[in-house]
Amino acid sequence: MRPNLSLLVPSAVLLALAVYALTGADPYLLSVLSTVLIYAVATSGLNLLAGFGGYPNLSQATFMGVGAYAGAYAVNTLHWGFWAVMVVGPLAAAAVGAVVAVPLLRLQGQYFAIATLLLGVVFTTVMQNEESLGGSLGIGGFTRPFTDSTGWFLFLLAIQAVLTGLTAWIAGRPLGRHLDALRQDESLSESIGIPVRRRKFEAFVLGSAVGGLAGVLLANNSFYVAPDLFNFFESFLVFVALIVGGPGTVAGPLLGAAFLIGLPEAFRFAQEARYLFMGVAFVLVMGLAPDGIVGAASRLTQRSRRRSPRPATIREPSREAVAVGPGQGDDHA
Amino acid sequence: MLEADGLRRHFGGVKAVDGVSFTVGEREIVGVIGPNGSGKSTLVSLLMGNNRASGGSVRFAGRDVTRVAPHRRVHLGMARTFQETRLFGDVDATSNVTLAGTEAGRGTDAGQLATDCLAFVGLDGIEGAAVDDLTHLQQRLLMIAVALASRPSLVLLDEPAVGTAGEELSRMIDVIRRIPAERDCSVLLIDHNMRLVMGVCERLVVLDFGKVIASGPPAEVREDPRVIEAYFGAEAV
Repeated sequence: MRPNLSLLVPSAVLLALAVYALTGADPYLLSVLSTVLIYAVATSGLNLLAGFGGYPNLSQATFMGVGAYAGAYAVNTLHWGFWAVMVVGPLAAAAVGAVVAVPLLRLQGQYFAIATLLLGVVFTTVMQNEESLGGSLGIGGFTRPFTDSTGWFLFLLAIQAVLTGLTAWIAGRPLGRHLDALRQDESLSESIGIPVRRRKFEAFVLGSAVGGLAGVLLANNSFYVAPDLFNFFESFLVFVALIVGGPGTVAGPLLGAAFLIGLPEAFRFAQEARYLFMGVAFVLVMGLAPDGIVGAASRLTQRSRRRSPRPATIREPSREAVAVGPGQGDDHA
Repeated sequence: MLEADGLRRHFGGVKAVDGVSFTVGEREIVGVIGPNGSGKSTLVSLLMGNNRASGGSVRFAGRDVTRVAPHRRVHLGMARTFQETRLFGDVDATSNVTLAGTEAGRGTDAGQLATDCLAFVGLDGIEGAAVDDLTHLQQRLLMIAVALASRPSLVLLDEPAVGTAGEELSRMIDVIRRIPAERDCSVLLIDHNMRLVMGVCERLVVLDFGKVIASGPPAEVREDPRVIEAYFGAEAV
């Protein structure tokens, strides 16, 4: 197994967080860490297609929004309870994912990125104008059984622990191996018998479902959702979290989410300028660790491995895709 | 084994492949030759399904595969290599072969299969090497090992010897020649390297402007005035 797929670091981090929460944590820090965990869930979903598969998916916050709003509808209109909402959010996100996957997955590279980005624009615009779900003001009504912050935090921690284990498991399964192969060369993957389209579809739908789960969690975390929480900038930040943490790794989503949520908190003193600080920090991390925090760490600990894999999430589409559109294969004749 | 019947592929008004028919028999090595732009690579894409045919049909092992997806054709026993060097760059040489072997493994030991395929192309000893550290010839041979790892009964080799000459070309010729008997596999060899094609093929199909202009044993095809014209121009006839 590749060192990047080791469960050691994420297990240790999650365990340390559990111990911290149980031994009287600072309430403010605990609420920040809860948000970190929710974004770690979202990033874990994104990790499938964007991390292992190398597809620059800029719509993860959109699927969080689909999950959150499906939950809001279930709570306010259908009067469903917490656990039913926890199920309906991911299901709604998976359903939307399955529908949009068909046209989206015909695209590659920057075209795929732009199309997924526009998905977020459409979603936010629709939700801002859907008065029955609160319009641009947002909607509340969420209730959860874990009323104390420690119980809620441990619940989130358990979900992220399951997802971390699931990521490591998938990495060793055909889905993970095939995504890793098609990231490197999609045509070649197809030519050695890998069902490329099916794998991309599975990764997109599963990743969307996990995004929907994160959305429901976010809604229950703040008891309130608004369209702006799921706009394309948020999607972009989740993508940045994955790239910074380490795409296609087990620990990457957790570390990336800590970066994404933790830095603005750390730079809170700078007020409006904190995104400037974040930008500088992002440039620094990318300069020092082009393959993410996990990649840099495994390079430092593994001297024998001469070269680390190149960062592969942003890549050029194949020449043919640009010239004649997808599905035209590799034809230069 | 393989039957192409009236295969066509048009790109707008350009007829890249225009009604091509031929067959490849069991354990036969058939060459497709033709000048640059004659439609050879498009033909490979059509046969493998990377590109959809505008018309005509492809039959493989008695089954119409014209509308079958590329990865399913691999499962049925077809394999291909690419004109450009294409390998999985993030993993070592053996993993490239193992990945292909696992996919169509059919219950065999992928590790053993990989060792076997690497040995067949004469690459034993490079197992753990990074793809980028291999020589050009080694990369081209590794591509063949990857194609053979799915245990195909027909392999399409798209200019396997591009960029090789002399001793290297002889090694490539030797490997391709041994495929039918030792791997129980037919070969469709696409190339315009005359030394390679004449050296290994039992039968040739000559393409020009997307059409078959001649076919038959190499010695016969070489004397065909239409072939000479296509390759060297009318004055040479």
